[in-house]
Amino acid sequence: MASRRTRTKEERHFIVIAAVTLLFILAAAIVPVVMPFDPNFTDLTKSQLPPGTEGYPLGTDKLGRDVLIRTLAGAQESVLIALAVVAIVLVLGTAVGMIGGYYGGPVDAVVSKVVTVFQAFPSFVLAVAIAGILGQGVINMILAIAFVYWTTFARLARSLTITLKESGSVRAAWVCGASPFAILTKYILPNVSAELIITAALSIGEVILTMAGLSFLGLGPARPTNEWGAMMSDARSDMLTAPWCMAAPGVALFISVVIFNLFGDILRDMLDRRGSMMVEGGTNKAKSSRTRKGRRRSMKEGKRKGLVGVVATLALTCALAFCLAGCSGGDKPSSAEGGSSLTIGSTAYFEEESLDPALTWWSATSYGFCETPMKLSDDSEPEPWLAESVANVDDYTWTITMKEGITFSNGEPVTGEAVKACLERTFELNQRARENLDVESIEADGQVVTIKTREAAPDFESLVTNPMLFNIYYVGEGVDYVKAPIGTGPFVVKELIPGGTLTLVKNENYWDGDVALDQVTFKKFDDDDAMNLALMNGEIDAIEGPSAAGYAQFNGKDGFQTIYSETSRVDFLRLNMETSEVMKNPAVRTAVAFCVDREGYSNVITGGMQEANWGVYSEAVAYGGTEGFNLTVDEFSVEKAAQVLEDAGIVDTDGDGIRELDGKPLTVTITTCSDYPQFVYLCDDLQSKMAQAGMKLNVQLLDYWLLDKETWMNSGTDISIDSYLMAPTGDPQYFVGLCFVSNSSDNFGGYSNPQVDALFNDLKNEFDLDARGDIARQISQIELDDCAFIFFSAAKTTIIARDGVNGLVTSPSEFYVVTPTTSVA
Amino acid sequence: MKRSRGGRIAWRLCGALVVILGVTFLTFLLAYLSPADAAISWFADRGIYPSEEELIAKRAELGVDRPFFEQYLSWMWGLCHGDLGESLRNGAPVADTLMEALPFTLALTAVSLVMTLVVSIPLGLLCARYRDSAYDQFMRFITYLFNALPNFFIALLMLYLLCVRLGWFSVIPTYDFKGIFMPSVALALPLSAWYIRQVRALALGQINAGYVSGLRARGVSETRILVKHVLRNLAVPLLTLVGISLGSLLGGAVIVENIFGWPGVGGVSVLAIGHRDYIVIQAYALLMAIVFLIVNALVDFSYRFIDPRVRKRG
Amino acid sequence: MRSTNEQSLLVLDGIDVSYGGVSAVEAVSLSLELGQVVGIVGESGSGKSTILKAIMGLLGKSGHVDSGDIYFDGELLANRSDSERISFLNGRAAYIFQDPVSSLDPLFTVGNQFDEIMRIHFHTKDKAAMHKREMELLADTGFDDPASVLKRYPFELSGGMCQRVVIAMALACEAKLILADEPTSALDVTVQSQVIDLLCRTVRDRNVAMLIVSHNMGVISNCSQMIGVMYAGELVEFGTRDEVLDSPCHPYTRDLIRAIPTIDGQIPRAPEAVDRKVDSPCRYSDRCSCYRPACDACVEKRSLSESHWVLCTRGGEA
Repeated sequence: MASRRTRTKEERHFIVIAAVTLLFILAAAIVPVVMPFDPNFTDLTKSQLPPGTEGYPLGTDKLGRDVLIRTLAGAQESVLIALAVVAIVLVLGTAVGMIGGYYGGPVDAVVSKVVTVFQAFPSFVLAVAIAGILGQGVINMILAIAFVYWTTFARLARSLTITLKESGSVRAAWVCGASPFAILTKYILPNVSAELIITAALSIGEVILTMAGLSFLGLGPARPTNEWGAMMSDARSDMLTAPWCMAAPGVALFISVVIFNLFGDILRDMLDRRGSMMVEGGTNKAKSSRTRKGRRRSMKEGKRKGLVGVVATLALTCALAFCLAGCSGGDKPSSAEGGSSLTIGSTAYFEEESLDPALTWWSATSYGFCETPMKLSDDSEPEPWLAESVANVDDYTWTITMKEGITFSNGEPVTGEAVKACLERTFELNQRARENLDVESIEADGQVVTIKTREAAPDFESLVTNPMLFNIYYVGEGVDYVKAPIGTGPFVVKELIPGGTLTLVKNENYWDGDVALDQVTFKKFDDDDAMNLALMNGEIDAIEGPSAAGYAQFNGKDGFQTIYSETSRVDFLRLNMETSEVMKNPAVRTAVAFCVDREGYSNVITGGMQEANWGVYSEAVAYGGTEGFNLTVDEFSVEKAAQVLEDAGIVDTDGDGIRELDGKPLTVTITTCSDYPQFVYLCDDLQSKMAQAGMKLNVQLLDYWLLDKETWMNSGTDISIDSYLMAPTGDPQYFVGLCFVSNSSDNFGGYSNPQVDALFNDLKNEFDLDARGDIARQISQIELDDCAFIFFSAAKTTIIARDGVNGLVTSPSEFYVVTPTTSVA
Repeated sequence: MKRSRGGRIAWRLCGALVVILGVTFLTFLLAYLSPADAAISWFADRGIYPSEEELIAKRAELGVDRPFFEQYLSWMWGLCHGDLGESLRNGAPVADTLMEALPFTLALTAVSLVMTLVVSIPLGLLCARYRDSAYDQFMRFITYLFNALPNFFIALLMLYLLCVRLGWFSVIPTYDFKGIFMPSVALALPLSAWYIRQVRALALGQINAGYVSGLRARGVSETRILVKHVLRNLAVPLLTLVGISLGSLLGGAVIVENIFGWPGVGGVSVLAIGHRDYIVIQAYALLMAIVFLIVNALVDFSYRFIDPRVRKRG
Repeated sequence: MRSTNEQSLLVLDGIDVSYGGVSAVEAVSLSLELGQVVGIVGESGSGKSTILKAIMGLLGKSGHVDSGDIYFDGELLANRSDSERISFLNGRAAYIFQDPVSSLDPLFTVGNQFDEIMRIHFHTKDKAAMHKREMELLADTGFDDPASVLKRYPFELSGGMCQRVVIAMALACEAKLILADEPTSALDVTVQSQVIDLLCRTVRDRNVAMLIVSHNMGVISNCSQMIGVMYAGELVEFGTRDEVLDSPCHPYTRDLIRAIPTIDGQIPRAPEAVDRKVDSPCRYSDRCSCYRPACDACVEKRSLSESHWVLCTRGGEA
């Protein structure tokens, strides 16, 4: 009934489609191998060329890679792996299913229960869970998909086998004494294979899509990859500026799925027509007929609920779900009624889980709910804020005199005792605070707080401005420090939805005048693109710390303003000096430094939002920049990198394009957080550049930052990319003490140089500002020579806001964002 | 082998229990085989640099140093009390986090399911009614198209077209119908494509059934046959489809929730994947399996409301 | 033949029916008057059901009436499309299916489906009247407890009960023509005669016409006044019941009658195919026990009496 086409026409169709499919598979297998181009070759001078540009029929992506070549190369990963997975599950599933179906009894009970258990999980959920637990990588992805799909075939093979087992020929063979193996392979397998092969062919497309989905979530092959799902995931952020980067792999994906689906359909038509066994549950999706319930007669009366019941059930489910969503969604932030409200978005550096002022970096001041005794002025000078003054009694004793009449937002006065309680709590909980200031005792007398230190604290005045140490907050019974800390700032925490949104409302008791805004919302976006779109749509008012894509989209555009200030923030590579044999080799470190395209990174990848950095500290501080330093690496040059390695005797001995160090291929692993697209781009670029210099770079992307040494070391990485505000208060001691000194808290790479340690001791005891700068310059020179850190780009602190937003500030310290005078029009 | 009604129910419950046990075992096994060290992850996510002693103490506290079955039993014990463990990432009770997000995912799947049914049943019936017509061919093309597009591609296209270019919807989801509309449509589109083909095939099967000829011969109009009788007869296989497709909706929700920022369990799981927080991943998989099982049990149960043959059996 | 057009309820004039280009019925002509039962007998696949479907418009997408005319009450049907034909015949003709259970929608009660038909044919919404009429019809068709039948689902009724329900529904339409397509073959033997009796009684009492089709000579001989014998898409013999049964002229008819199982346990032998020339114009030639080479010359319709004719060159002489 389906069609009465003549057989020949059907066969013609089949031949055409089968030929196309075969050609497609062959192309996917051969083209990427014989292609004379390296799909991962980056060229930052050819960033985002549109399709049709000479030599680039499908254009180039952000890193100047040829989109056509990448897409072609991706066929290997997307299509061939899918075929392999289907082949694996076909064989395994069939074997298990046939054995279960043939032997029956307990064997079958086990097989069918295991299949049922696997099928109890929504398939993509199971794949995500398996891949998520195993982690990124091709093998893990294959495992995840195989674990999900084998049940389809096991189940089908089992039911087919059970039917066939009862057939005459199998019984006859059994009576004649054929062995189970012979029966399974000679009698059953040939009869079940048609149906199974159809199902396999029909699931290829599905597997390709599932793989793309996993890759899209970052659970696909490791970098460098041209897997289509991963390519599309990468291209998301530039979809508005370079849509072709997304379209090419998308279309390729689409075409391949269509081809395999067509092939599966026509194969099914062909084999069905040839009188293969028609068994219910034929295709993996058409399981619908299994519900035909047997007919049994009964004279019982039943009520006519019928369709009404179903509709009611569905409606009820919806209503219920809506109610539930409504209940938990009811108290979600909405703009303050009638009042002025500002929403600021960001993808990074928000405290997602805890607002505890003892442990945050500087969220408490930038969100405007805490303040510090002193404040940094725009030229990084400490000036009074909550304190009237800070005085130096002797090298080891300092006093802070708090202003009178200031209250916390709960109305409690800010007294010396309150400050003492607060600081004691902070210094007990916060290791970084202890490292920065070795407090011996804190005494309070009226409004005066006296702090005694075990070591001299020449930078005390600037430390008092640092929210990491000196947030002033209310300590008392029943305070929820994590969710609702109580400070003195212009805003009061209203609600923190972990990982989502922080809402603050005006502090009606603010000590320093009236607060212009009624409500401020900081919204954390997981997704940079969504954030940019939200600003474009006017759903948020500002972006703090835009990505390169966001910056390119809004900077200088009508209706938007860019607020920025130079900062001491520098992006740098941190090299593993403790456990990495490769990184211990100075030539390799230098070669890596030569391979970092600092201009390309700053001008192309960040779209001009940052500036190339050749020294250690950025130009924003007096002791920064390059002047007066002796630079080993003063340009980006793959040739020089190669030369350095050559000179050190690190050469390619086996002709595979990778140099050998101590007989092993020179392989380096770099790790960064995928939240920060520009670092991911840098990894890809560096991978290509280092390959040209004869080094193999593996990229490991994490969804989080490596924030302590154990994790850092456990990640097995040789290099990580970090971004630090190196002198938030303008003073050099902070970063030296944090990262350069042996065993300091953020010295994850295990860098150690006795000279630096000695200079740091000098710094700790030096009170003269110029002399402190000199020491910083000496340390900088040592760092440049040792090359354990590669400081490649200086960032600005940037806010993009729509026109009409006033009073948002950026500062070199990044400490302050909203102020009492911030307003919207 | 005849069983009493009660006996049959007990037998089915036993079977269900075995499946549920199997599901818990599998999820536990998943996490057990995880290559990550729970203690290290625990410290890492708190920015703490643990000593070896601290690690050993933490392993003991987390119970990961005990033998497999002991761990499994204690995990099951917790599970029976609604305790799915604590997130390695932030120490929050996993059950609370997931249960907070679950209504959003359920709402999303329910809405997209309703959309799918509303769209695909009439379209699929029309395909069957006008089989091989230009309309049927056109729908075949459309369904092929949407079947072959990854759902994230559809979701992104929608985001850019409807939110940015046309400005009809906000990028940040609101928690009302407007907010749920976009992610639901992104989920419903590929599913509808599949449904239309299934409805068409099922309806064609029904149109060739004896009762349709019977009704025709007795003078019942084609439209009435289609709308009243065929549709009603389709309800049983359709309901089965609903059960099956819920799985793909729950799976697809992972990606779609992520793209649209819908605060369901998908987002929770993606965050957990990034942090290798396998306690959450495990709980997520288990929760989804339970939802899937419950819905399918409901589907099985609801056959009796549609099909009198099932209702009147024994 | 033409002469009977005026008083005949149904006239088939040389109709050809094909499915997707494959011929199923060729040049079939017959006519039917009120109060008359015409039975067509033939083996499976001989095209007898196709004739009924062609009349009713149930051939489906692939089936076509290629040529010939069908008149109902003097109205030409052949030039109407299937759906037009169905709507024209609604209330005029009723169709009784081979498998009564599956010709009813399994998910609705008998009463519900009955109501639907009543509404269509009488445009009434008066439930009580409808119900009363249904009960009468069911009682007429031999149900002792019609009320409970109305509440039941088709799967709760036996095949015979379903067939009676279907007949009752046919009666509800007040059809003048009943097309019975193997009405008994899916039923238990004990029920078969019940149903046949019912059909015959109906024809008698209500003065309607019935075209009944069966592969079972017993069934046909039981109820028909006129009997047609079909073989391979052709009507090969036609006559009154007595003419066909007592003096069958076509060799196939003779074979068929001989093949009726008898109670005395004699196993009848079915005529077997013999390998003979295939391109004989006589379709039965390869199985015919009386085949002569002369049969290959031509086949022609021979009238044996006013009502009796046979499609055999030799007109029944052995």
